[in-house]
Amino acid sequence: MAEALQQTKRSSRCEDGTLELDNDGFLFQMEHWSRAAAIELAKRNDIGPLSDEHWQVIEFVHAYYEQHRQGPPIVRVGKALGLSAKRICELFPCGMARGAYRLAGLPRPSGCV
Amino acid sequence: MAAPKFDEIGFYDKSKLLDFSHSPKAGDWLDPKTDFRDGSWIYPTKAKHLEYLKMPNPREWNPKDEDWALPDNWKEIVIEGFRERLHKYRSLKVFMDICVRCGACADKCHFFIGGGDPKNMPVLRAELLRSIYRGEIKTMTKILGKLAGGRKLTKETIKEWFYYFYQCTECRRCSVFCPYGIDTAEITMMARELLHLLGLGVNWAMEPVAACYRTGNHLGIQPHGVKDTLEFFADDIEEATGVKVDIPINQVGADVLFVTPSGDFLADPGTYTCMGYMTLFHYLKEKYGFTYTWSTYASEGGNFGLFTSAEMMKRLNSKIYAEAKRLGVKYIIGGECGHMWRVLHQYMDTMNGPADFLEVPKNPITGTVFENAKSTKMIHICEFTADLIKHGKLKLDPSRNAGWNVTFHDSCNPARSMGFFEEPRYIIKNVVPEFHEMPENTIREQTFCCGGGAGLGTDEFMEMRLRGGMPRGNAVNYVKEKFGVNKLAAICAIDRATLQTVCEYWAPGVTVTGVHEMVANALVLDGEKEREVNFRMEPLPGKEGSDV
Repeated sequence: MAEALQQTKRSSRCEDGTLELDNDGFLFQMEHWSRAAAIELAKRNDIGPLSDEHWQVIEFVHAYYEQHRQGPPIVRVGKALGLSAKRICELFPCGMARGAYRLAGLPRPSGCV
Repeated sequence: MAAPKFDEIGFYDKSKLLDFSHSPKAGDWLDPKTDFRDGSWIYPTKAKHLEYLKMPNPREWNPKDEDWALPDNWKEIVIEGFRERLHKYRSLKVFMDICVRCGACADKCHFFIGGGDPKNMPVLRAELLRSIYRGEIKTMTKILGKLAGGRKLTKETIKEWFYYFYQCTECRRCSVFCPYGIDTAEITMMARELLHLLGLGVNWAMEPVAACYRTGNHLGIQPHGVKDTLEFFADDIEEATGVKVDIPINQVGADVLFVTPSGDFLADPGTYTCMGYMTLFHYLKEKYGFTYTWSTYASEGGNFGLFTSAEMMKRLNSKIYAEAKRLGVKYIIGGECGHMWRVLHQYMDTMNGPADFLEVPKNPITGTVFENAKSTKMIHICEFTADLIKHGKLKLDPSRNAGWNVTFHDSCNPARSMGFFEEPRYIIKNVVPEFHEMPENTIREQTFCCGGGAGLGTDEFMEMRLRGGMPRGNAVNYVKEKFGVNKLAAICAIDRATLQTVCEYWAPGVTVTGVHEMVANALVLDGEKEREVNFRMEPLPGKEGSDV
């Protein structure tokens, strides 16, 4: 069993070995999040280069999760930052969860979503 | 276009996706060989969730590994678990013995139609389990062995089970055509129970289960998060209508408890449906004094326990009655959710009832008594709203939904588990000017699945979701081309999430909505401002030029 565990962890590591990611390519533990981690995740997911608007969204999502233990809906982010849903989709073409949540270190939401 | 990276919304090349045959390849189907092709299987449950739920064999593992880190006595566990369930569930015993392999179900599964893998024929999927029943459990066939279609349980068989029983959405379309009425979803449920005994499950189903057990809903939203979300929706409703709606949470003594899938708190377009419920209940309170309450404890209508085990389903479901009792409501209304209604309609009363502390649901505004919910004491929001419309209790302006040319997708569980066909259609026809049905062999009890139910609606499963969504997508595309349909209405949160993808691929230009989003768009509220936008903040017909 120990061997299997090791295999999974190894296969889910980021290429340069600095980030530990789960199968979904999300951070294994949110505590390991940093701005450097977000930059690395952006590279891995073909997002960016990260602009001020990207950072506004990432930091809002991260802070919202710290407070509410859930990610914010896209409309919530848009309202808070004065960005349209369309603009957020342009910033994160792979979507809110796969883009902003992932870069902000959140776990991937699952269920009826 | 190349196959997408894992966990990206990426689509496959349509010509490649359609390049398959329904003719089985040569070879013995009893020989278990599973190809874990990317896009056709789902990530396994993370150890932390199994640990939290105190389920067996928590560990990190990968289906692509040779060694799945099964317990040493894995075979004994499965055979014993199988025997126990055959003894406990008479239906399983009947389903194992009665099938004559007539093939009526063979071409009814959306995954088989869109993929051609013979083991996605419901009869053959079930045979994966039956062959072990014959080869390991039933005495006579055990002696005859392969002659009687029996086979021995091996680790390869377990891999095959994991692969194919997580390629079944438990939609039960095949059961409609079975002359014996074999419920193939129950066979999948039993197979998944056996897999869980070995710690084999998928994260997309088990993370919500663990979250629901911990916080009351699949998304893991805590009480202050629920409050914050609903307040935010109230602000948006006010922006669109000029009316500030109440947000009653955990309110003791309300007339009804309202429970809906938590997906509607987070994901568009379910969020607009949620605003729809809030607007309707506000209207009923202002006009008729009818009160409702949300709960932060029973904050989930869905029940991924249904996709896990009977025990888990019971554990998750118990919160609804407990909360209804605590809050002292008269009865319960449930929102637009799919599988939730199989649990509520077919199991809740037996599992966690009798709910003798509740009243038989009666709409005080119309006087209608819902005799159909006499035992469960829980009714569907659509039957409640349809009753209000039928009695002329809602002031509606369907012209606000002009431009939305709608068709209705019957969600598998409300349709096939409840026979719930007319109410949503009745509502839609009263709130939108234009409605068209899809072909009759794709709706009502013959409805096609979205391809993402039963815990399969995740992106790493995209190839199979697109294949499984093909029959539904084609039917949508048909009404799109014939009648100009541009909106697909569905009363299920999984549908609202997964059908967007299906439509984008198979019927581009059609988007998804919930029924109560359209109800609230059409609802004329007392004291409202001149409505210029809908809840999506899109201009209403005739208001396109307004400064919104």
